Amino acid sequence: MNAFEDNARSIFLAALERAPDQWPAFLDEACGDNAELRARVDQLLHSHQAIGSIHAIGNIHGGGAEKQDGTRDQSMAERPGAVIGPYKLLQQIGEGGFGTVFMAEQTQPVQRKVALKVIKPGMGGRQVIARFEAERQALAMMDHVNIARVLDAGTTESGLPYFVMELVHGVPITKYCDDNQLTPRERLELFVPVCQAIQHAHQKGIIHRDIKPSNVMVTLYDGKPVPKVIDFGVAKATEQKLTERTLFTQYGTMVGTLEYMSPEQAEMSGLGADTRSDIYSLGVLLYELLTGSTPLSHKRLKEAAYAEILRMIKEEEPPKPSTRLSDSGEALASISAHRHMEPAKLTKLVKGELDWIVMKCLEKDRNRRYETANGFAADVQRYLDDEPVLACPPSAVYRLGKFVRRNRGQVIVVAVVLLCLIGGMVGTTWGLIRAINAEEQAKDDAKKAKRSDEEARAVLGFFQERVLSALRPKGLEGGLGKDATIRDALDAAEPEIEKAFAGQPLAEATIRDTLATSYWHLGENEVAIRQYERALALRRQALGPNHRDTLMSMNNLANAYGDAGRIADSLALHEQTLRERRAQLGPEDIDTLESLNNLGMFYIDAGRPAEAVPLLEESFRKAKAKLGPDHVDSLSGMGNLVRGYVEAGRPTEALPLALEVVERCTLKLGLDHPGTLIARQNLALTYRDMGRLSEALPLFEDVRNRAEAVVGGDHPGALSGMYFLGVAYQCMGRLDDAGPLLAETLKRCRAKIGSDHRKTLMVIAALAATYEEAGELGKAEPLGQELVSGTRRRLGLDHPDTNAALTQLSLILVKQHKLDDAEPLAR
Amino acid sequence: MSDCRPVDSKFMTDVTQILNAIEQGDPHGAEQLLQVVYDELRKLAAEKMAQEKPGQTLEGTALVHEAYLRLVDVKRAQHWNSRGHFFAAAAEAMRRILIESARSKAREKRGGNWQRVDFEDLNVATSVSPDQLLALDDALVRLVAVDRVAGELVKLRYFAGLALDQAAAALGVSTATAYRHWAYARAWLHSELLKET
Repeated sequence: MNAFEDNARSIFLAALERAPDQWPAFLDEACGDNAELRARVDQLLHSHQAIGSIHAIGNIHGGGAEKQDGTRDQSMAERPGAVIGPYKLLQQIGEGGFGTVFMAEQTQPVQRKVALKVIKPGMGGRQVIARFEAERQALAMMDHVNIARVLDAGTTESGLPYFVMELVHGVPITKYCDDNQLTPRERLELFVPVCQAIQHAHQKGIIHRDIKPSNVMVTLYDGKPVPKVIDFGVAKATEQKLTERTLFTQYGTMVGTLEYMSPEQAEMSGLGADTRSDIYSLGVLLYELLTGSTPLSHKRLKEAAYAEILRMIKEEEPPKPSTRLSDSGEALASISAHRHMEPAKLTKLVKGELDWIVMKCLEKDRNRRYETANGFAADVQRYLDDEPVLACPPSAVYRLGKFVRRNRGQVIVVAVVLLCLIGGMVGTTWGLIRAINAEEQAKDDAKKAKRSDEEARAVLGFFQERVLSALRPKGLEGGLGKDATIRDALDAAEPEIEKAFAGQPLAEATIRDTLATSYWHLGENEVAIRQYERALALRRQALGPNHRDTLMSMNNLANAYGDAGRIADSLALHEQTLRERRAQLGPEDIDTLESLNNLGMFYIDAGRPAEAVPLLEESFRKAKAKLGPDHVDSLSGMGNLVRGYVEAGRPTEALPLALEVVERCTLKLGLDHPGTLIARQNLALTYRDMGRLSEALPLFEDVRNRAEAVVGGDHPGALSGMYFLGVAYQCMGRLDDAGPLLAETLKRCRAKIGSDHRKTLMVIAALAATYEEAGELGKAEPLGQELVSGTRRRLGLDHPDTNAALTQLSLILVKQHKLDDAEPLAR
Repeated sequence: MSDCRPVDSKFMTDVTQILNAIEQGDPHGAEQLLQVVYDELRKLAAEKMAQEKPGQTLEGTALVHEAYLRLVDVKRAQHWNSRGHFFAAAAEAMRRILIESARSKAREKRGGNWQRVDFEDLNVATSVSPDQLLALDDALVRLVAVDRVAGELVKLRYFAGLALDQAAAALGVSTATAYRHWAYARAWLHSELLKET
């Protein structure tokens, strides 16, 4: 080393012994007039500080080798008295699996006390900081009274990452509640703002990932307890793959947080945490606040092996909070005492709605949890306000779940409709997507949540006793045996309705409306119409002709008319409903938008797409503005508008929308969801009508296969998939593929919806055209004849499809040189 | 880590022998040790790569690190009296492998790609680009010339993943001294890399 650099090195190291604010004076003295030396030392000190923040040359292994005994000494730099960047460590205030927390004093730019958490060796060096940096912007945007701000992060001299946070003088929420013997109500009141804090973070794009009592501190402001969520951004930054984490569990460092870990976080494949993982952890926290223990008790965690714990998190159904309480034996006395309650009273209080709320958060399938922390908080608040909660009794859901598993396929739709109902709500029928997305309905249809508690319970009770009882073995009361389908259960329940709801016309209307919707989804339009008509009559009588629910019944009935082929009835009723809804509910009301949409769709079915497009445009535009682009109503509105453009011969306008709706549906609902299938079919139709058959065909094929698997081979959705694929084959000249497929479609349509149904007629037309093109005129002719008489009878003499049918039949006859027969048709 | 193949026992014997030789004052010992460690590390990393199913490949660097962690089995290493030599060799071997990989990556990016080496498929850490790693290594070579202890310390910490106190022990200096070298080394490298950009 040359003398100059050696000198610079000595001065640099001497400066490090002093506080940064003393450096200028010290350097003035040490370097004297030697400007070059001073510049070099300044440069080194500058580098030193720059590295201290984030660009540390850390350890690229992401973890140091452990010492022989498996631990590692804390470096000399991370002890009280040490200085880390602008922070001076004062005293250690906590220690966890991941790190050590100090109270520290910040000197620059402001003087204040902060909490400084040094991450332990082995958690990764620069990766931690890189991950933190990725979130720094978002973290800086968080500003909530119940969140401790994250101020800074960096690496210490010895390469360990550290985080600086607002200092919170407090105790973990569970300890605070027990120490002060808070009642369950007081605990819930303290818990609501915790949810709101998490919601605030979620809205900024931050997921906590490590919610647990020690990260939810309660501190007193003016004598009032205020919860503060700490450690945002830390869990994500220090996150490790589970495979790596196993290394550390050997030393038991991880176990503390496993109790709060969601099933998806325990997944080796790593689905990854999202906002609903935080909801799960919040649920565990509430469980603990109510019962004094976590769903997976500490004792069991201690006894089980790591892999077994992961399995329990992923698979084991935890006991309801009330069950945990009543099973807790002698401990119940002290648990209750901490909650200022009699043991029996505590169990009774938790049983029911609080059970449901907590268990909804603990669902293994995150789609079944509350969608947002606010939704969770709102349900807790509803409980506090003595309003009915949205969460449903898990037992019914569970039983329904089992039922559905046994009756996969076509009944899935019905099952979800039933689910809405058990939540105290009634299904409506704005497009397939909406009707089967129970959670969305649960989320935003506040008006339905207002339905009276009593009514909801009556309906729920009926379903439990009359419909779900079909699960029971044959011979037992209400049991139809294990091979019963939901359809059988519905059929068996129907005659009981009148008796069961004597004197409760609104409850009867609700149940009939729901039953009808179930039948409607099954394609049983005639049964659906009967039930809807009865529901409408009941509501008209009880609520008057202009009530929102009465109008809903009209809308539902109009849909069923349309699907049963009674287009004129459907249009008339839809037009009337739209007028009334505009007048009674206003032009922006969701129900009015629904009517715009439905009327538009039946205009399309009536062969009047030009009239449909403006209605669909208005409906979609307003729904999107009101609900956002990803709401199911916006999605189905967008999809329907695509359909409108396609039918009106405007595929170029349809394409961007069609692509968008497919993308959004796939992301939101998954590939196998009927809504996504419809969206992809619409995209295929758009391509087809633009002449891009090579892009359309694989879509048609995939949709057809999936539809058959998801909804069953004779469901209208599957039939339409078959039909469109057949037509696509025909358009491409693949007549050998088109013929058998369309013939099979026709067979199923005749059996399912009848030979006179408009959709059956469309299949006949396609099959006739295929035979005609293939030169199989003998097969084409009777189909052509049937088509003409059918369209005349169904659609009238002036309908464009009737004219098309005539042209088609004439062509078939002319090709067979049957001019005498063809001539009268051409007139 | 029960599914890991134990490090070759021949390797262990070789290392023990060479370390003994070094203690006896063998001038070629360090060189031999490096060769043995380097070969074993490459072998382990290549094996690890072969086991990975396509599509779920860990990063190349992670594989090298995993191989390294297996090689530097702390429990075994503590039987050796001169662990410092072993860690120095391991750090140098790691450095060479990562640098080789970075060079071939950097070359590939420029379209060269004429000399295919075993490790060309390894991706150098996502957090450090090949160019960055190469620049760092160049600076490191210069640092060794300026302050040998500081340079070795960086190698041990950066490439062998040793904690400061472990690196101090491997170098035979006190932790306080190592800390001063470390502070200087970081500042020196940082200022050096700043110069280049």
